[in-house]
Amino acid sequence: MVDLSVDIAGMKLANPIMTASGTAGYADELADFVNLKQIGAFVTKTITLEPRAGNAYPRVIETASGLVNAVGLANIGLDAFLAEKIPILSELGLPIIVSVAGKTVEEYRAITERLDSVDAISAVELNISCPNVSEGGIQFGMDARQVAKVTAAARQACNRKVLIVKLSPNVTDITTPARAAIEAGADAISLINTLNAMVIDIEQRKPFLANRTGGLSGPAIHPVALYMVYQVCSSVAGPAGVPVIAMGGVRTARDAIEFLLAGATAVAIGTATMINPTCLIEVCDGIRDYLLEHNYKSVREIIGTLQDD
Amino acid sequence: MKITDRDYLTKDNFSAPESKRGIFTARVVANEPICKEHNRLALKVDSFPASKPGQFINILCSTSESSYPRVIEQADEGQLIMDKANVLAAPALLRRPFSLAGRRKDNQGAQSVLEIIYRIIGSGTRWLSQLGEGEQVNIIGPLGNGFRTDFLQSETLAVLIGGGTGIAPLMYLASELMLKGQRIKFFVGAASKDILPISKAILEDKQFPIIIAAEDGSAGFKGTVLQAWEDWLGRQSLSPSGIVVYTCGPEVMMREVAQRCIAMGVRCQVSLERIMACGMGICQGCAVKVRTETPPYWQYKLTCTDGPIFDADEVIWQDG
Ligand SMILES: Cc1cc2nc3c(=O)[nH]c(=O)nc-3n(C[C@H](O)[C@H](O)[C@H](O)COP(=O)(O)OP(=O)(O)OC[C@H]3O[C@@H](n4cnc5c(N)ncnc54)[C@H](O)[C@@H]3O)c2cc1C
Ligand SMILES: Cc1cc2nc3c(=O)[nH]c(=O)nc-3n(C[C@H](O)[C@H](O)[C@H](O)COP(=O)(O)O)c2cc1C
Ligand code: FES
Repeated sequence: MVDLSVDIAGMKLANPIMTASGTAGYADELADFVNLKQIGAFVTKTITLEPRAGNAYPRVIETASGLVNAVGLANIGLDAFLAEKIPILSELGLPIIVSVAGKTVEEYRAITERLDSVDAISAVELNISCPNVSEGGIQFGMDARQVAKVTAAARQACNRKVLIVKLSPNVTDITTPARAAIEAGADAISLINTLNAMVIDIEQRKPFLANRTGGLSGPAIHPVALYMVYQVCSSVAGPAGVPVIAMGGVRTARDAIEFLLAGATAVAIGTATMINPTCLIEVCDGIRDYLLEHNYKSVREIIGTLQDD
Repeated sequence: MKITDRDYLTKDNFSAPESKRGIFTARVVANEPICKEHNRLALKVDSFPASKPGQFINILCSTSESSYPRVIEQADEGQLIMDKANVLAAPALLRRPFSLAGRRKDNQGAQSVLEIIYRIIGSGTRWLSQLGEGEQVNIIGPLGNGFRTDFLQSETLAVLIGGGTGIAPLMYLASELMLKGQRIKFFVGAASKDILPISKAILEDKQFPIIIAAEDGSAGFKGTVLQAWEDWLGRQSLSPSGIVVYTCGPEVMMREVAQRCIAMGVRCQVSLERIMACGMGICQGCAVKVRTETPPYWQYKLTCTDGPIFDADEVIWQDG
């Protein structure tokens, strides 16, 4: 038997595989296709205080080995989420991680405070890839001072839950926001969110997406995500003892094992879940097979064990 | 021969319970051109849940998506052998949605044969066109809501208006309605007869209630399917409650059908197409604006789960 369990800041996961925010809905959407009870943890679609309709259509378009989306955080809002989705989520018997976002620092604090008292959830993940309306619409995640502010505000309101900060990759040096989040009190770091991207309709000479630009996900971003995870783990999170949840283009167990070797404690699967919901299980099985083949007793034996020579 | 005995009609009577959707491996039983622009793909699948005309399936248009590395064999010495086969160059990443164009029971009984009609426009449909008999494909379905037929009275005339590839889901609807003994009138149109995705059996069946429109005059009515329908309407004296219209085709065409029906007070359902990343209500990509009773008097619905079939009067059409 191989032990696949991992620990993220006190949160116990039966295995290192989780969903990525926005690519598994609120769990009920996937119920007919995959047994989510078999994964390590569930991460919800990002929730905001008020419901959001999202951007105009078109919102998604495929590119070479990737997907560009500009959904615009369409979600049912916190109240409906608590009333309708929490009961479904608690039946999974998994650590539930609720992704949240706000337009201001205060909104991040307020939504975290509301969730801190909800028994059914284990962690709050701050999605900081959103425009900050009070600071001219620049994404929180692109400015390390804003990352520190948002994290500190949420930290203040978050006493009973694990606080995860999800980094935006749209920065010059990913270790800068990682350090800011950790210093401001993040219990764990997750990365990466989507890479800024766009597609042009050459016949109409117009941006393809109604929002003009969007974010790239899927296999195309995996090597970039791996590089960033490697950097964060080796120079910031590792030395600070802060666990990292890695994501970006995972489709096969090999992709996930790369993240683990680079130092990630858990791995989330996004775009690939929407194509093949069972890949959550298949990747987990593949990790187990890899551990068996290499005679490891626990997945924890391979985390951050990249060889130097 | 009674019309209900025609073998192009749906014969699988959905004995399956109203069970859930799922992921299935299907086997290709036919994949051949049906006209110059469209192919017909028949897929045999075990225990496919009950489906309705208007629903669709999501096909993985690339070879094997299984995870690597996988242990495939445990040799005697306890040695594990890995399956290192790789599929790095997947031609199409996301699944591709296709309306069910028909469904029948396999001769042996336990399996269903699902039919789709597709047009080759890019990498995914090109991949589909290269599938040979016996090859396997991974499908998710049945997805979406399907056409509503519960409001049809026994004497109601169901009018089906299909343009181009949009004829596909209406084929399934026509079959099912005819098997139930519903009166139908099926308008189909394309630029020319040789790109009309209708099987020879139907074209040659004088009793099949079909009206063909070809813009170049190569068959039936010379003009668009809309003009053929208008022409027919002009010669009828029907009460609005006596007909129900179902339409699928280019959005401009459906929009005109919808507006005409609303003006006449005729109930109309449209089958919308939106770019989809998941088909399961997750990505929120397939948003369509619909009217609501309360401010702001509109909201987004999802084509993949709330649709693809919508009531004509709820849709807020794009560009206006
Ligand atoms: C509910 C539904 C039912 C459908 N039923 C059928 C059917 O019965 N028969 C059939 O032939 N086709 C049908 N389609 C359209 C079909 O899904 C697309 O033709 C297919 O996805 C194209 O894939 P591709 O890889 O060949 O082309 P791609 O290379 O993906 O695309 C080629 C071009 O088509 C555009 N495109 C891609 N996907 C879509 C889409 N879903 N909607 C609109 N434009 C798109 C792209 O932007 C690009 O310009 C349906 C679509 C939906 C949403
Ligand atoms: C359709 C779609 C919606 C997403 N929605 C969210 C979201 O609401 N919140 C968030 O933090 N990330 C969101 N993401 C980003 C994913 O969680 C993930 O970080 C990213 O897609 C990279 O992983 P992947 O390549 O496995 O998809 C979304 C991604 C996609 C494709
Ligand atoms: S296609 Fe993803 S929500 Fe409809």
